[in-house]
Amino acid sequence: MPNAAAPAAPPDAEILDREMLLHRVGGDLELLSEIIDLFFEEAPRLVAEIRAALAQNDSPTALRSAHRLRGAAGDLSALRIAALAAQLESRGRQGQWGDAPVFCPALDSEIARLRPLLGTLVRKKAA
Amino acid sequence: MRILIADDDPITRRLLESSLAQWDYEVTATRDGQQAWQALQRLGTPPPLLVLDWLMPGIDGVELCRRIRQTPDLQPAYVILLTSRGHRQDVVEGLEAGADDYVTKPFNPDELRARIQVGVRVMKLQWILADRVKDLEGALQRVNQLQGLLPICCYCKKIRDDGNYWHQVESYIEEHSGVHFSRGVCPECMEKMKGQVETAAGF
Repeated sequence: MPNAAAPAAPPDAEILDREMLLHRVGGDLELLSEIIDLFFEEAPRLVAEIRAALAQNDSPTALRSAHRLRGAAGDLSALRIAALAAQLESRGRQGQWGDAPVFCPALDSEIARLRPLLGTLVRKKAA
Repeated sequence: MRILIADDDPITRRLLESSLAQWDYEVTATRDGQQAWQALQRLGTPPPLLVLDWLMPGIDGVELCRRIRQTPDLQPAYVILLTSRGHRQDVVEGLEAGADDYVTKPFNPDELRARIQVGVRVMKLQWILADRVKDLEGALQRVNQLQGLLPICCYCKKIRDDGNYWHQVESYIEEHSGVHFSRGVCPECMEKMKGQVETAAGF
């Protein structure tokens, strides 16, 4: 039974579109593992880049890194990260960086949430 | 058929590479516009299909597309641009720069496959047409050899060629066209010949 007192965590399906991801790798588990590894190399690095760029008011770098993060998350069908990165990118395009720094911790926690889901996906499929 | 891809995102590049190989295309994967441009100079036979990311550091997809279109040796080529969802103006600019089609990222494998198949159809049609044009040019050249002013002898009907040699009309035409003669005698000549034979025999 779900605990009603716990804060409402988004359902897994809102974090990761498993079907689409499996379709995109054509059911190839080796390829899936490979791109998951690539993502967890890329994504934290890009968030760090965004953070550093925002601290230095370096808009072009922040924008480019947000765009890349959106692309990488999109490829993995990591819906929440892709949506956050897209919002950040669109703020950046309009030069409205005001609340941009709050995106970084949100992205960090979304990346942390995604990790076990992708791990389960690979294990489940491999079993 | 060979496809060149250019994308600076390692995940997209890996996914593209793997999908295309799975669909039996030969893949040349490059990391950015500069590397793609170098690969195009290096490959002896330029790839007929190209999948280029729009946003890349250095030479971006649109600039690469323009360069390809300005290089006759790389034609014909079918170019698909990868664009981010929601950048409608990019699509217009990309098509105006010479792209044939675009696919939005993250790409849906079914859509990408179908769009690449369109490209393959277009390229095959181009090759067939190019072969036909070549055949027709050859035929036209042969016809041209029989055009213009031909010097002919009023008495023996021999034809003088460019090297000042005189040829029998049959051999000249045979040599300068696809025509071969089958020999016979027309009714008029047949009558004349009959008359000559009868005179000689003293009838």
